[in-house]
Amino acid sequence: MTPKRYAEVAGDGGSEILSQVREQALRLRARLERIAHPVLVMSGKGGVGKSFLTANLAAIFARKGYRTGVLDADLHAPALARIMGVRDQRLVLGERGVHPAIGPLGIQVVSMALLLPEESTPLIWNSSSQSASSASAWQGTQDATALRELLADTLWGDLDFLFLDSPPGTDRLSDFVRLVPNLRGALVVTIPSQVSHLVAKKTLQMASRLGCRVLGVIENMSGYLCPYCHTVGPLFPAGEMGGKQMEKGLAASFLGRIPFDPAASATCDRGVVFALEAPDSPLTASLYSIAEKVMSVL
Amino acid sequence: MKFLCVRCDEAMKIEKTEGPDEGSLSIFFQCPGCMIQVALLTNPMETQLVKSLGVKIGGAAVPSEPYEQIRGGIQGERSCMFMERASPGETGHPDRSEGAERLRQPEGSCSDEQEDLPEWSMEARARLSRVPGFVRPMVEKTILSYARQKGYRLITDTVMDEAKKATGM
Repeated sequence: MTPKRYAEVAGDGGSEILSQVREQALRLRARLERIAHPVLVMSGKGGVGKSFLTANLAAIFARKGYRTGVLDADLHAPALARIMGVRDQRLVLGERGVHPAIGPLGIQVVSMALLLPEESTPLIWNSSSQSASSASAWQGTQDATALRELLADTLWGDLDFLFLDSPPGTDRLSDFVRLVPNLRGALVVTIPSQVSHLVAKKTLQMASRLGCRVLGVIENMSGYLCPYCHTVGPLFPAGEMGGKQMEKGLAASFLGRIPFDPAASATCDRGVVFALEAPDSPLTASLYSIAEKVMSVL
Repeated sequence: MKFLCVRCDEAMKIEKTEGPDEGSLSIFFQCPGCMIQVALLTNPMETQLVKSLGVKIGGAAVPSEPYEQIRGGIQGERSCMFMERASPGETGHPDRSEGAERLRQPEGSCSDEQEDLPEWSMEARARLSRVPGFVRPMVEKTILSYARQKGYRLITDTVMDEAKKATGM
């Protein structure tokens, strides 16, 4: 007689793992149902300005009257708490969830940086297994679980927009697609260099494979804004992939360019949102233009 | 993962879980037919993998707490990671003077009204306690309703003043 196979054995043998996983999914779904437009901000490479863009887009949407939140999903290199000026806040623990920090214009902010003692403290998970070689087997899972909790256990309330600031690369993209079934799409951020454009193309392909809609591509640091003559000159060599070539080579909408302004970088360090501090800047104008295009594609 | 008693061709049931002890979990199964028992013993890496999923083998006696895995998992977490009451002035909501309606999440779409209740600052709670008892429930309800409508997460003295002025209390 052939013993029963896995699918023929009813239940989960008493481990109750499936029921717990289902409960987690229901809890997450109930939270996300109240968020009209979760939008992922991602890039292929790091250092292209995702967090800057996330913070400023959130501020523009909040300024327009939308209920807005940001989740710093870059667990190991969180920047949004500083950029949004909420680093000194504590999250408020309630019975049914965690109240987020409140940034400018009432933007709700959640970041791992709010849970770590210092900004320079790395995120290290407690482990019964002390082996560094085995850590790679479970750290990704731990990160995904933490991401789920930040989404499911935060009392976001009714939001019009929730911007998810992704870590660089596409490693976590499958987690976002799985955890946020009502994800409206992703904004892909790049800079005007050949390498970055190539990686952006890889990112678009990966998003397509995973069924993640790309709302559009944004080119940051697209030229240097001269503080004296206020004209924009090239910051990177405009090679084969630069400038207009960027738009032509894409399999996604091109939403716009943001010039590099040293003052913008300084606001990140000071914990002030640039679009709010410098509303008349050409950089802010480009951010508003991009925000309008994002709204139009949603 | 399921355990099958080959002799009885029946699924074994989980009896109990022990540990982790030195990083190892012991999970005991028993066949309901022939009562034979087996134990699954995990190594520390396997224990950690299960833990990182945020599940407990054998089921959880109580629902998980908010941020349970994060709070229990961070090494060297911030002291006073959370606070029961945020400092005054952390309320705030954007001016909703413009915005396309089609992009808005409908108001009142909350499926659990209790979840939306704002918290009270210590000063505001103390101030409420000084309101005469026979009107206090009405005052509390009015302020809560005002704060929810405005999207405030925390009721402070400032919010109470606003509510008083807006509602004519």
